[in-house]
Parts: sequence; C-alpha cells; structure tokens
Amino acid sequence: MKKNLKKLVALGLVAIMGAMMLAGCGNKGGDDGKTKDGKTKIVFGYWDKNQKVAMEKMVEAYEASQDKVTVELQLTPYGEYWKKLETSATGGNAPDVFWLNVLHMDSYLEGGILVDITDAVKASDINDAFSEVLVNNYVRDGKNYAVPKDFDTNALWYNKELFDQAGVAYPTDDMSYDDFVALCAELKEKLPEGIYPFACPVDFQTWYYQTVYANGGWILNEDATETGYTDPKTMEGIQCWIDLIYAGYSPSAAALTETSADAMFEGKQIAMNFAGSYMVPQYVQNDVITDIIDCVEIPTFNGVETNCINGLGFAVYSKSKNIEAATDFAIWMGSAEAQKIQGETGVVISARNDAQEYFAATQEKFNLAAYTNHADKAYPLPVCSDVAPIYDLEAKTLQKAYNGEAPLKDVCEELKAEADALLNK
Amino acid sequence: MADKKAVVANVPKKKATSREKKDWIAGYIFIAPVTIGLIIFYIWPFIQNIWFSFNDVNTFNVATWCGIDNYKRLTGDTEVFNAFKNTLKYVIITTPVGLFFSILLAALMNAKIKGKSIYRTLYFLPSVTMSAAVAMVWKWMYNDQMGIINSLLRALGGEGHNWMTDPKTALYCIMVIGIWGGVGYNMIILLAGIQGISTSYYEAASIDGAGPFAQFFKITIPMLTPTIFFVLITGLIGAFQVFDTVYMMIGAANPAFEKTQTVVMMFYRAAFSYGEKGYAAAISLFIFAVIMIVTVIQLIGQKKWVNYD
Amino acid sequence: MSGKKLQHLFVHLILLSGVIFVVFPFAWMVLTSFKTPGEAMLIPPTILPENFITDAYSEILTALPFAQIYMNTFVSAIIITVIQVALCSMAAYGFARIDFPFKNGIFVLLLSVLMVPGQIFLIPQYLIIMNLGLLDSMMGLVLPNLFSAFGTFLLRQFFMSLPKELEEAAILDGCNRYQIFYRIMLPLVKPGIVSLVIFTAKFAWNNFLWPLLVNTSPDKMILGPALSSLQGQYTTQYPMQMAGAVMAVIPLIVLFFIFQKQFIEGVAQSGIKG
Repeated sequence: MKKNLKKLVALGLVAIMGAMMLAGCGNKGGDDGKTKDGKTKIVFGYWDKNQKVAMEKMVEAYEASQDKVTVELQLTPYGEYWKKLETSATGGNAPDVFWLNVLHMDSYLEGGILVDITDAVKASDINDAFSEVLVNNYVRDGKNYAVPKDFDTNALWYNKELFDQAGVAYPTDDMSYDDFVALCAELKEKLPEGIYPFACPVDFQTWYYQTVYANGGWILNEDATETGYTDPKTMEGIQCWIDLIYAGYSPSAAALTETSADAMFEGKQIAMNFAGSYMVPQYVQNDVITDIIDCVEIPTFNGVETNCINGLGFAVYSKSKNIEAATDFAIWMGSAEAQKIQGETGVVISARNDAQEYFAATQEKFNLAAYTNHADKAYPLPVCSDVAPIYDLEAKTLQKAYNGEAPLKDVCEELKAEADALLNK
Repeated sequence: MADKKAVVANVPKKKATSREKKDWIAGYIFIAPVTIGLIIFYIWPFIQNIWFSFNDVNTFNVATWCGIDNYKRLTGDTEVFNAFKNTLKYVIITTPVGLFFSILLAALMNAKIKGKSIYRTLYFLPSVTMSAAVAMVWKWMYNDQMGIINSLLRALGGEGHNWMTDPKTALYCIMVIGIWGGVGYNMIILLAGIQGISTSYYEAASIDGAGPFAQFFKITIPMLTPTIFFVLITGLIGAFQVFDTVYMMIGAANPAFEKTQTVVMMFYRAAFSYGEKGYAAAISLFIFAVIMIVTVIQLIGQKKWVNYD
Repeated sequence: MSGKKLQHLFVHLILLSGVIFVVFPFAWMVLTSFKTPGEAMLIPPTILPENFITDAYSEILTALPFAQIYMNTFVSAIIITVIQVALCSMAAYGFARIDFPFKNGIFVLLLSVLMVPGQIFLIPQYLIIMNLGLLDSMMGLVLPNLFSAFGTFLLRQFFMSLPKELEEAAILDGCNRYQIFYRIMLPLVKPGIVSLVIFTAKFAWNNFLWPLLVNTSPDKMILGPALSSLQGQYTTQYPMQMAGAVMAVIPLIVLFFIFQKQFIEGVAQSGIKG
C-alpha cells in the first residue's frame, strides 16, 4: 500500500514536471501572424466537415497564387462554432477570415468585429459576378461586410421505388401547388398503409416561407419593427401545408418532431420530401436510397416560382493583425478560380454566377439543376439582430395550428403580438 | 474508545492552544492549493457573472450597465417561471428515485456473487455511452409508431402512446433517461462507501444472529450516510441543472416543449443563441440562489441523520 | 446453505433484468458502427447489421491522426487525474479533520462553484489562460481542471466517516498532521480515491468544450473535439459517429474493469477500521 502511494506521488511529480515542460513548448503570448520564413500567416475558420476538402483545395490554390501569405485552416463544428468565435473574439484573437451566415450578420456587425470591405469589393469583380441578392445579404447601410461564398435553395425529392410500387408517374419540374396536391391524393390512395405521400413539419426555410413569399406575404418589415404573421397572404402560405396534414398526406406535425421528415424520407416512410441543397452529400452517402431517389423543382404557388435562398459569406475580423492580407484572401475566395474549385467538389452551390453550374454537373444521376434553375427568383430569409428568438417563438407557436390545438388565425395573432413585443423591447 | 478521548482531554490547556495554532496552519496548507485554484478559475468568473447580471452584455461580452433591469425582467418572465416548475418536478422525482436505485444496486453489487466485476462494468456503461447514441436509442424506444415500448404494449393488447410529444408524459420520459444515466456512477461512489465499512461490524452482527436484511439496515445504511449525503447533494445540484437530454430530444416545434424546458435551457439559449448574456447571468444566479438554499438546508439538516464517525 | 444459494439466484435475477436496460444503448452504439450509412437510417431499424462493415472505422482512421489524438488525450487525462486527486485529497482531509477558522464558510464557498451552470466559467477562464500566454498548450488545457470542488466534497465525506481515535492515537505517538494524512488516513480512503480517479479520468477523457476553445492546432487536439469535427452541419453519418464513440470509450471501459478490482482489495485492507 505504502509503496503504491509513493509510486502515485512520484507519478504525480513527473506529471507536473511534464506539464510544465509542455507548457514551455506551448505558444506563448499572442501570435504575431508571421511564419518562420517571414510569410504572413492568417487563420481561416469554418464549420462544415463536408467542405473540408473544398476549403483545403481553395487555400492551396490561394497559396500557390502568391508568395506572401499562408493560410491555416481551423475547423470547428457548427454546434460550437459561434461559441468559439465569440469567446476568441472577446479575447481579441478570432480567426482572421471566417465563415459567416446571415443569422449572425447583424449581431456581429453590432459587436464591431466585422471589417468594412466595400472598397476591396468595388475593386474586384464581385458586384458584377454575383447575384445582387447574395451580395446584399452582407450589405448594411451600403457597406459590404462579407464576400458571398455559396448559397442553398430547396428542391422536391422523391422515392422512385415507392412511386413505381404505387404505379404513379414521377413529379416533374413544372408542377404547380395544385398539381402537387393532386399527386399527393393519388399517392395516398395507392401507397401501402402507413407510408405517406409527403411530410409537412413546422419548418420555415424549406417549407412555409417559400409559399408565404410566393403568395405575396411577409414576415418582417424593412426596419425590423413589425412582423407580418397576421397578413392573410402570409397565413395562406402557411395554411397550405397544414391542409396537407389534415388531408392525411403527411404524418402529424407532432410525429415529425419525433422522426424528422428527412429521417422519414431516408427510411422510405414518405414518398416525397423537400430538402435543401446541403442535404445532397447525405443522400449521396446513403447507400440504401441513393439509387432510387431523384429531385425536381419546388412546385409553383399561384403561378409564382417558390424557393428560399440562404447563403454564407467570407468575413474579415476587425482585430486581425493582418487585415490587408485577410481581405485579400477573402476577396480571392470569391474569384472565378476559387469558386470553380469549390463548385467542383459538388458539396455546395458556389455563389458566383459563372460557377453555379458545377454543382449540378458533379452528380449526374440527380436532377440537381432543380436547385439552381430559378435561384435568381428565390427569396432571402428575413433577418435582424433578434431573429434567433423569433424563429424559436415561431416554431413553438405555429406548432399549435399544425397540431390542431387552435386555428391558424388565432395562433398567428398570438405569434404577432409576442414577436412584435420582442422586436420593440 | 472512551478512554482515548479522556486521554486527549487531559492534555494541558496551554499546550492544546499552541497545537491548535499549528493545526490551523496545517489546515490552511492542506486546503490552499484547491482553494486558490478554485478562487482564480471559478469564483472570480462567478463574481464577474454577478457583475454581468447588472449589465446588458452583447454577443462579444461588452457590458453596459443597466441596473436591475435583468432582474426585473426575470421576475416578470412567465417562461422562466414555467421552466422552473418543470425543473422542480424533475428534481423532486429523479433525486430520490435515482438514490434508491443507486443504493439498491450498490448493495447488490457488494454481495458475494459470481461475475460481480462483469456486472459492475456493465452497469457502468450508461455513464460512458455517447450522449448522441443515448438520445438516439431512447428516441427510438419512445417513438410513437415504431418504438419498442409501444410495440410491446400493442403486443400485450394495450394501446400505444405518443410518449415524447404528449405534454403530460414527455417530462417523465426524460426523467427515466436521467435516472438511467446517473445510477451507474452513483453506484460506484456508494460501493466505495460500502467498501470502507469495516468487516468487523458485520462479523459482530453475524455473531449476534443478524440476517442480511437486518445487517443492511442496521450497519450498511447508517455507516454509509456520509456517502449517501454526498450522492444526495450532488444529485440535487445535477438535477437542478438538467439540460442536455431535454435539449437534444425536444425541439421547439414539439408540443411538449413548454412542459419540458428547464431553467438551464433558458440560461443556455439566452447566453448562446440569443446573445443576451446579461439576462443569462441573472437566470444563472437565480438557479444558484435556489440550489444554495436547498443545499444549506441540507447541510444543516444533515446533523439529524448523517453519522460522521 | 441452500438458502444462501436461493438468495444469490435472486440477486442474479435482479441484476440480469437490469443488464438489458443498461447495455442496450451501448450495444446499439456498437452495432450501428458496423452498419452502412443507409442501413443506420432504416425504419424500422435493423438490430444486427446485415453485413458487418468496418468502413466507418477505416474512414475515421484516415480522417484523423488517431495515434496522436489518443496520446494527447492520455497525457492530459493522466495529468488532470493525478494532480486533481492529489490536491482534492489534501483539501478534503483539511476540511474533514482539522479545525481552523472560517472552515465551513470556505467550504460552502467552494461548493457554490457547483451550483451555477458550468458554461459561465468558460469565457473568463479563456481570458485568464490567454493572458497567461497559455492558449494552445497542454498547460492551458489542464490548468482549470486541476481544481475540483466536487472531488474535494467527495473525499471529505470519506475522511469524515473515519473514526477519530486513529488520528488521536497517532498524535499522541508524535506524528504531525502531514504524517497522519499521508501514512494513516490516505490509505484508509482508498475506495473513495479510486472512485474519484474513475470519475476524473472519465471527465478528462471526454473533455470537450474547454479543449475546443483553448487548443486550436490540429496536432494538439484531444478526443472530444476531434470526434465532433466528424459531424456536418446538417448531415449525420451515424456509423462514423458511433464508431468514433466506440473507439473513444474502449480505453475507459478497460480502465474501469481494472480499477473496479481495487474495490475488492480495498475491503481486505481496511480491516483496521472500527
């Protein structure tokens, strides 16, 4: 026993000494942003492991294009990405260039950590080569705060096996909402018991915002002081999905919180599903369904193309020690060369107009052009600095209408009152 | 026993005080490393947190003084009040039930039976199983349409139930997972406590003809009270802070959301999703105050039932 | 004798019925790791994989430098466990056995650390470590984790349940406090120390958020953050995630299996008590 204890203490001392030595080897003090060979080193933060290869290839090409700057990649999973960014920015050492999405745009701008890159954008071809919607996602008061990186839109996916089994013709690119409802009705009749034609979860970006906007409805006004939930056009765009649940074409919204629409689709429990372009890598990897599925455009609503568009950008950190090099890198990431490399990995749709086509070209077995055909007419998400609590509030409240607890009109009135209070607090 | 005490008491008074002083110094030396470390890395941040609660703190931790606004908002926040009710329910049920199962298991594991090391390892598994796997498996077991629980119920001629989306049952389902995940480690602590009880007590009791049940209640439980006290206090503190299972299993669109969200969830969302770190600090201090009161009551109450020495 | 056998049978029955309950999620995790991504998503799920596929494991091994990661995790876990347990046992002895002014006040102050959500400590700790120049170092990774209120409280309870007479006799024999602690009391709380070692090692092994914040270089990564980097924003490849979890957890189970035997020895040696 005593022997053991002595060993333990000795081990402890060794460990402490080891720790001190390791600490000595550690990176003392701030990083001056230089490598040993005198090059400027910038750190580039991103979150999606599916895009690891794309980011590495782009960085490689950037480093080859000039000889002054090297880039270190820093991957942090989405769940912790913002927490880490906010913590390191508090300490003044966030990555020099980082991925930014529209949800965080406003609070980050208010927090003063974004660099105004308007001049660099003007000096480049960005304003000509990207669609206005995508550039403007990151423009506030006429100033640019990020270079558009990619975008995502939605498409209607279907399971060919289930359609064949039911003997129903596949959906097409030119369907309207009414055609779609008729298709659901036909499937409902012919599919085996327990298999649903479609799924309508309480989901904004991939479901009801598309029809809300196509129908002329609105969610948030220009100066973010009021919400438009009680506008009849907004409510129509939501009600059209609730109707499908009550017609029996979709599992109940409650059931869809237990098993997500996507899990149902991958588990072959629903014949059709809406999915963002970011789901494509998942569908490619799923060996069970990948050969029996395909996609078409989202059906039109009242003759209007319906789709939501969202996208990321490359932003520059305001306390970076090498703002110039960082800005140069961010602008380069929007160049034709960089966007082509990104597009060719087939994981995301490159934001640049001339690079959008690569996404559809990489997976020929799917009709991925469904994502890009009408991207120019797609609606951006409503955003403001308080948008995160509003999205939660929306899901929590609308759920009551989806689950039949109260009519949509009542629910929307309640939602508007609470959301407006939140905006004006 | 009594003799020794008498001897100690007979040591002359003056000598006792100098020994006392020496003891004080020794005491401070023993507690110094942990105390200083905790003050720097935990109590100092805690004090900053108190300061935050009187400020409007943005996403990047820049604070602007706002007086007691956060607390005013807290007193009027019905959502926090609801979340507190859910949390309280969770604490009141999971703590005693979890403690009961932990003691039962520890006692069983201590029996001289074959394969005890295997059992111990197996029962330890829940505390090392990845939480994503845990959430996935439980979600599937509770699932309305294809879950194993409903399948069994239907096979037995009963009816299935939407466990995780019914506001009346969802919180109880979460409690089962919480108890399941905590029992393994508490069992180990209690087992360690049981191992510390000298066999001589049991030998004496055996000679007196006490059976295993009598021994358990007359020796094991009373001698184990310091360890039970620890498990009770840390269990209460843990239950008050329940968060990740609920967070992973109940989304905002789940009809049971309002009946399951907990206070720490409110804290977490305010701090990390909504960029309201000042308000989050106020919520965290509310949690702290509640736990502190409960713990101090326990620390005072322990004199009635915990046997030290 | 047959009564005792019946009793054992009864105990076995209770324990076995519980085993299904505790092992199932773990077994699920292992079985899923051998499925294809598509099979893992099937509804209703298959229990056994159709074919045992090890793709998930080979993918992880190519995606991550596992030898390096294991090594980093192992070193940090050893440092944290050894130092934390040593410091906690000292403090616990002080709180349990020695009387000094403000003892209870200090003790409750330390306990208060457990009563707030752990997340509030992260940012201030990050700033301290940053100002010490220890970001991205092993020292920065382990430093805040060397001090534990939980461990101090746990061992305090074990020290408090020891009889006073042992100590008093030693004092009369002329031992000082440090000798009493080290030679007499510490060996007696061995079961408590073992349980704290298990807890701390498990915590240090699975440590996630803190290392993710302070250690940014890939070559300094430990298991928790490394495995989380396998997760996409929207996509989840269950087999790969589960395979990662299995690889992470196996050393822990082996450690536990070895250490739990120490409990049994504990009985044999603590006959002194009473």
